[in-house]
Amino acid sequence: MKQFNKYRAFDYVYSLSKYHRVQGSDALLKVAQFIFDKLNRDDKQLIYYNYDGESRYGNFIAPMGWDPIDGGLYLGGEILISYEDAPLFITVHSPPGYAEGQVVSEPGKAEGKILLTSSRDAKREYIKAAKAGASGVIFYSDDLPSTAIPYRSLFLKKDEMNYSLPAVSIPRNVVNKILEKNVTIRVSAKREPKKMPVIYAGTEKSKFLITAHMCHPFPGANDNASGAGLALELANVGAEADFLWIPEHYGSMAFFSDHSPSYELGINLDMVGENQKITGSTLQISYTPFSQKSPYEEILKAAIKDISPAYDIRYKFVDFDIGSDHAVLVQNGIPAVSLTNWPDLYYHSSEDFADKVSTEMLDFVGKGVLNFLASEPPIYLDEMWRSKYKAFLLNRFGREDAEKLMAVQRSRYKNFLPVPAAYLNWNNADNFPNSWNAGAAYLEYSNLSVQLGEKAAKRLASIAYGISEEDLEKLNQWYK
Amino acid sequence: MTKVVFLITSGSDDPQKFLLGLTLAERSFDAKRYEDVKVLFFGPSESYLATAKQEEMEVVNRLIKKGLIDSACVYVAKQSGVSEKLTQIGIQLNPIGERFAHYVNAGFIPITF
Repeated sequence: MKQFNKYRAFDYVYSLSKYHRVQGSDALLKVAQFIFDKLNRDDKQLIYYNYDGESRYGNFIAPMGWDPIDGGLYLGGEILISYEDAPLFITVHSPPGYAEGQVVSEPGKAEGKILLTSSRDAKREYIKAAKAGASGVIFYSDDLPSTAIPYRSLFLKKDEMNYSLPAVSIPRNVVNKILEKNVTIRVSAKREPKKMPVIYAGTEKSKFLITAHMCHPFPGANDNASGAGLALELANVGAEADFLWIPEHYGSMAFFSDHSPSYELGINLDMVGENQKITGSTLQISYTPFSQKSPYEEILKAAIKDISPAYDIRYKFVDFDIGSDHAVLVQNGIPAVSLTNWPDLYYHSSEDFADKVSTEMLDFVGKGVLNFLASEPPIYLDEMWRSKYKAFLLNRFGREDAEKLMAVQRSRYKNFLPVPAAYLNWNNADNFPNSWNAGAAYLEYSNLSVQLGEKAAKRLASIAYGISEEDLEKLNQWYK
Repeated sequence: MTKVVFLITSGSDDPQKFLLGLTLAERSFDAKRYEDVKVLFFGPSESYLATAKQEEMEVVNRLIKKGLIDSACVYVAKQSGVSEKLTQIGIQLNPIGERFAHYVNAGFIPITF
């Protein structure tokens, strides 16, 4: 069996980062084939679901397939930026189209014009612009480096295909050149149903499942060629775990729509390559949620601490959040954590190149996970973990609530907790400040409600995640 | 300054020593006599702790709040059938040999009661 090799892991990461692997695209299918071909596991399967704009997987409706072809932004006959320069220029899942008009920044004045917006909630802003009669939309970012093009996406469903205005994304340093000017936008793209690839290597006999999303626009080196590439290296050096590569959220929801594996712990690798000196990030290792605890997270914690003195890496343990596929695992009855560098100065931008990936980080995460998988659980793991968890709960919540949460935990650990019912919708969660936290609080509230009743669950989720009970109720109303 | 770890082993065989050890640990901490003070439970003290009197529990609860109690031995707790009770109180359970070695290697001076 080969030894873990950080340079080979980096090579996988770099190879994957060369693809514009947008969900629903041919490039994503190619990336899946690349991983499948390189994967040295007898139990591997390449499973296909659908990007057809209407298939429902759990609470998610798959977007329509989409392939960008060409496009540009023109000012007075001069091309300012093109798809060839940077694939992210075409807003992900933009309809094909052509628009000419004055660039305005006020949505109320967008009729017959091109709306320029820095909104993160791209789809909502796009639909508002379409309804206001705009002829096109240009996205940019207020907080990325000025030369970076932001990753903005629309992911239109089948019943949203009538929206036809083209959308593009530009770096901030272009904004002043075009504001109030007459410009032309051209987007060429193909929209048709495509296959959604998922790779599963496992027989469900392992206690652990390692997940990584393999999608995202070019270059997406840290997000998430790093996780997908590192998982490939781990699988190929014989890590004793099952593996799942998915298109983020949609793919994991699709997989769990017709698979019901049971694992002691899921480990999600998402943004695990950051060179922290460049990206300014910290490796965050999330805890499993209160409603679905696993004692194995303590062993993972110890395994990572154990190897950390040899590395110059910032890391910390944080509360559960819903930012990646580990939340989908949790929704499907698998306690799960995520290893994620956050924040990252170049996150979701055209500047997330492999030059921001560090082999030291890949080595740290890879060997930390291998150290965990090789750890022999202590004989009295359950007693040790329960006592530690209880002490933590007493300190954080007080005796009465600690008793309640311990009861939930016991049930979960013995698999008595019903499948959580929280309804997660990523686009709309953006309406809430700190939406990942709000989403985690809502998920926790939903899950805990099953056993503790709504009132106690809402209060505890509010305390745990710093989201007010009023905001939780707003989310509740919205989800309903 | 010196750091001290109190290893409480006495139980029903010598309840007075059990309470004396905890009281000394608390007073040493309150009076800042040492740089750091920690408490470990090992052996007969664990069963005794599980059925401690109100007066003794008040001291234990104060020590928990002050963050002085590290843990009790998970093996002894399991063998004595008191792991659930100790967890209820809020005492963490760990392999005591590892915890004791951790403190000794970190320069703590052990005092046994």
